[in-house]
Amino acid sequence: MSHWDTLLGHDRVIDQMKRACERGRLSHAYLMSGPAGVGKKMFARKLAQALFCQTPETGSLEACGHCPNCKRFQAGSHPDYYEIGCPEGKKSIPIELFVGSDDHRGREGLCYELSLKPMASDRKIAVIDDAHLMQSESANSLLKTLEEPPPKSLIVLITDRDEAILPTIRSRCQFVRFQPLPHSELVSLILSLGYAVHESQAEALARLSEGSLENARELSQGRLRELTELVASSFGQDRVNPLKLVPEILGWIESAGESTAQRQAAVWLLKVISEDLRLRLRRNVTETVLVDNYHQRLNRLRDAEQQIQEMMPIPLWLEGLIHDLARLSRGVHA
Amino acid sequence: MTETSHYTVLARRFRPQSFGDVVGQQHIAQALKNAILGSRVAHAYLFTGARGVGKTSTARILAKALNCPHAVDAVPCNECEICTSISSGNDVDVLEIDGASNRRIDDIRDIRANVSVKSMRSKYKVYIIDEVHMLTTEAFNALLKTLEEPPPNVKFVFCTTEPQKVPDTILSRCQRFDFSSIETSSITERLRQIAEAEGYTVEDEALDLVARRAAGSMRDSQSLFDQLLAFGDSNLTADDVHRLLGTAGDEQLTTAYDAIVFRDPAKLLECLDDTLNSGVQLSEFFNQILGYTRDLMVVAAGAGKVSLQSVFNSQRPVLQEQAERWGMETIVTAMQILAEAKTQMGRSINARPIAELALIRLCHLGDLKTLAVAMKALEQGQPLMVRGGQTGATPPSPERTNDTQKKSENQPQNAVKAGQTGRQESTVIDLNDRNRREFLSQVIAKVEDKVKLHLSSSSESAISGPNQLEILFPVKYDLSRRYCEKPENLRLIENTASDLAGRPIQIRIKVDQQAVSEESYEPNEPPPAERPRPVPADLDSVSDSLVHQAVDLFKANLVKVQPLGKPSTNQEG
Repeated sequence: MSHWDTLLGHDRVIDQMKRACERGRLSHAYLMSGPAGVGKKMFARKLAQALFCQTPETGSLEACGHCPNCKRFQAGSHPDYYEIGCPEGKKSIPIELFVGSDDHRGREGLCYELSLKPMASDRKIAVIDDAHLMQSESANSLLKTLEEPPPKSLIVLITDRDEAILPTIRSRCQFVRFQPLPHSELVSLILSLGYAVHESQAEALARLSEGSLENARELSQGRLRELTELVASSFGQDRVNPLKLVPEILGWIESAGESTAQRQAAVWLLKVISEDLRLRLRRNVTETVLVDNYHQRLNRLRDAEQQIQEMMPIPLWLEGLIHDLARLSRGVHA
Repeated sequence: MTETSHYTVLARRFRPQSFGDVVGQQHIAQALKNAILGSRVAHAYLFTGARGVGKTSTARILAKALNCPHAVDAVPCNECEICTSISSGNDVDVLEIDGASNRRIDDIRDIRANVSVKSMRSKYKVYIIDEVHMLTTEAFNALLKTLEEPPPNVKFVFCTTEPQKVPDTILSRCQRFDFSSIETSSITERLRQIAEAEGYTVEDEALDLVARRAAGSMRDSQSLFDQLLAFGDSNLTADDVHRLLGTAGDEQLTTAYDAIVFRDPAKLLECLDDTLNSGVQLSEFFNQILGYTRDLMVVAAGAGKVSLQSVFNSQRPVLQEQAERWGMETIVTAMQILAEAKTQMGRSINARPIAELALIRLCHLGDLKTLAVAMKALEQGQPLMVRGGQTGATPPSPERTNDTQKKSENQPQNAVKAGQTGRQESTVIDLNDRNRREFLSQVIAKVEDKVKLHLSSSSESAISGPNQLEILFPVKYDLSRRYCEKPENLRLIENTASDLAGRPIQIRIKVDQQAVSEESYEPNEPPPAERPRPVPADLDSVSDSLVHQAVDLFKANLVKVQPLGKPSTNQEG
């Protein structure tokens, strides 16, 4: 019985980490990268708990779950553990979280906390979620601490977009890669979390969600499947009818909730369309004209992605997008 | 789990401790050493360069070499208390400041206030400001006066990866050293030393992969290597490295690229799926493909000594073959497609469609090699040999793959020959109806300067008789026409033309009536719609025997029969 048992699908990473620990080669900084919703944060937390645990007989990198440190950690109140991420309603992790606000510069924040002596255990551990959201100011302010942190501290950066991480940050970390969840693990997770009731439902859900529990959760609400089918059926025809399609999709987006949720839904729409496009392309790889056409459509989708980030009004955005796609798909039989 | 002894990563344990240890920056180390020995140490240095090439390490070594009481020939002892405290970055007289965290003007004011305080125990007070590019403009400006004339025995060392963000006023007050990226072979060598020191056996290929992957940064290579030692088996192979990095092996790469070069998108997608299923990351694979294209370019350019980035040197023959099949022009275009896709992938939420499309587009790249040869031939004034029915604009589709390959084998040689003969005979161009335009442009190029400008306004030429060339001028350029008509100028043109053709040529100058109307319409007119191909009519349905004879005589296809007397639009051909 190990406390890792609840983390499914990442045996390889766990093994690697354990081996590193047994050899006494745990680094002080890890960059954990992989698709959203595969369990990176859960892994980081379990790693932290295992390092805090005071029961020596549990073996390397295991947590007993009942020593004072484990209890504190499970209660979320371990004094030597820090977890920061993007604050609600912000687009990036502000520099204040690292080096303190203007009034208390250097006297609070993650870098300062790490420099203090640990209170309840023998080490300090910091987890930075969504590390790609660190702007250059924040990222740079972390560099010196990340390179030479106080002894026995551990910094874990978590990201699903490692290409957006500064090379200077990356160069100081060991890179841990998380794969998408394997199908069978995903099915059992879906069942245990109640996203689906029957096994057949769970199977279908798992196939669509590309190894990400996050996707599975979104999909399980049924709305996304509705959209996937709508897109597949309308773009499958020779002629896309924008006048009919736009209101349908707009209704779908608007039913997502308020503004932020609508934008999220719009991004899902782009994902669904481009995935649909990809599958179509795979069936028609030999026709040069078609390939060029797909290229144009994909470029249009990319522009749309940019526009949604620049806060273009959604009805206008959708109308333009669907009309352009309809125009591009006209006369192309695929 | 309580007592794990604390582990310090390789990059920190193997930090260079004297100028001699700094790998790949010998010129800088030597310059600094000489400055110390000659007592000509500047009061401000700026160290720039990519991540992990030794900027901070060199700054510390400089501080040690200046302050260590036991230093001999600018080599610090690395044993005394001063040296060790500088190495760990917390000496009282060597202040290592994190420029990114202390970037405000207030932080710089603190430095200014303390600069005049004498050093406590060593000779010099050294300020090392790391990540200096993050200082605000106000902070930089607050530093200017101090930086220009600091108190004696105060030294500043700035380190940054982004010198372009440092204001010019700061740059001009510093001695600047640019740290170069470290060569792969030097990194390999250093990693081998580390592996030995740590007691591991590592395959040469694995070391090479790690070093290549680090792309010139020593710290990158050491971070990677550290991980390899922590995660891998006791005997490390190239496969271990690939598994750790999520990259594809040489064989997977060459197979994928074979599919591209042979224009087989279906097989390419198969390859891609297989590769990704074996645990390779899409973004890594795409980067490798990009690197591979770069290597193809290197091979195509014939740079035999330049080392390959994406695969081992043993694969060079394979690349050679692929590069020959593709040609430099196609490789360059492929590079553009890939680079464009890569930037898009970085910004997009859904990278896979972009990557797949880019790879498929590579398969559809036309035969640019023959196109380039043809262009060259055209430039040298050779008529193009147009192959029946194929227009060059659209790249050949894979159904025609065999045909295309044959073409790429035959045509370049023909075209090259054509290009060569064109060069040899460039003095004599036969004047015939096909190349009269070319002929005229040659005449314009060769004729004396005073006529050249006017002659170049001519719009059209026509052959109006044996050895007679008509040059037409638009009405708009009537002045030029009249100028060229002057006997002495006309003679000049005739002489040039005769020289060029190798026989006497008569020149007539005329007004081009057509050009007027054409020109005035041209800007607004949409491109003419392609005329539909005439559909052959059924010959048997025509009773007129004359038509049958005519068709036989001209070996023609019958399109339309129209009685005489009406305007005929017959097209037979």
